[in-house]
Amino acid sequence: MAGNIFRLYCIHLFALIAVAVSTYYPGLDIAMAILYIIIIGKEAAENGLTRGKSIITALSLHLPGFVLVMITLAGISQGDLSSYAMFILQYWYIPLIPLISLTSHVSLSGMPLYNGVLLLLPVLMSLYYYIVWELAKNKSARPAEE
Amino acid sequence: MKKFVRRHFNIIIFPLLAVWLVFAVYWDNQEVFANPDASMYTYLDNMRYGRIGYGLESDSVGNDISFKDIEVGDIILGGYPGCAYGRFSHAAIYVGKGNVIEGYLDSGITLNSVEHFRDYSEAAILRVKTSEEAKLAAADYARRNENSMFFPLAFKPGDRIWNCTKIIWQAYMIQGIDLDSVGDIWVAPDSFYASPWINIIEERGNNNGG
Repeated sequence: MAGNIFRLYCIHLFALIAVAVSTYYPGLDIAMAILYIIIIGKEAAENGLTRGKSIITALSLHLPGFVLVMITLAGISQGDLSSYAMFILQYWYIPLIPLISLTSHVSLSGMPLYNGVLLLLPVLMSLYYYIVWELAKNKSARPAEE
Repeated sequence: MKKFVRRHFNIIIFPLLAVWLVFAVYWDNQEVFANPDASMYTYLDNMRYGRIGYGLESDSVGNDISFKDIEVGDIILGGYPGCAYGRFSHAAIYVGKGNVIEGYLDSGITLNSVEHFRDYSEAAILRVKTSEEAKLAAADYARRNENSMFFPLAFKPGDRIWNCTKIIWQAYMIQGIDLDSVGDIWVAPDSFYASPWINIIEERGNNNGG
């Protein structure tokens, strides 16, 4: 499991650099973000872990995201931490920023929709990892059942 | 080799893409990287003195700049002490009725009162040397992008992600006016201040002893 988490962090951190630079070429950044989602899905499908370990692996990758969202929502004002948390959260999720930017121009109660999506990303991406793992497990189990 | 690539594709693809993209951006912008006035060098230079980010809001003494003569399409700059990217850390475009369009991390491209520019220790009002129609069109462009995404590292190309300067730069670029005096891959507020397209209408702060 530690190896799976390490792989996910390696993928995420290099995707962060690659996607950040790819925003220089509009359009390519969206392709890169989709590639990131596919690769994370592949990792989930091929991890060979149990359900519990898959959930822990997914949550481990998004632990920084969960912490930053909690700081943001709690509005911790010590040293203006909450505004920096939002700032760091946006950087942490750079691999998905091009896709989130597609929600531009849409607002909810006066706040841009992309901010809400950003705050939901740790949950959404953890769920994505788990659902792909579950689907892959069911698919591989089906021939044996038949 | 094939077996290695197939086995480790997920791990090696993004490092390879990152190297390729960094090289591609460098290749496309060699003159920017060779320019000692480029904003990335200003930032790196300031980092040596411990200046990171937009400066210290708590150290600002404010200013008494007047918005009496401000016009639609004017650019307002603000700066806190210790800003890493120059004298000014923030920019907005005046859209009338006491309001500006500006970009913030938590609210995206948004409409706010111009009055908060008195909170900065450095402030300036810039007027673009162009027709009234061009200024109105630039202000209108900025307004139409309200609620768009703010991303601090927004490069010049593209119209999905913005920072506070890119939205203004693009609004005037569409009118055929390039306000970036440095010719960088990003636009810093100080680049507007130094632009030959600009008249400085008012300013306060250390640079003029105000």
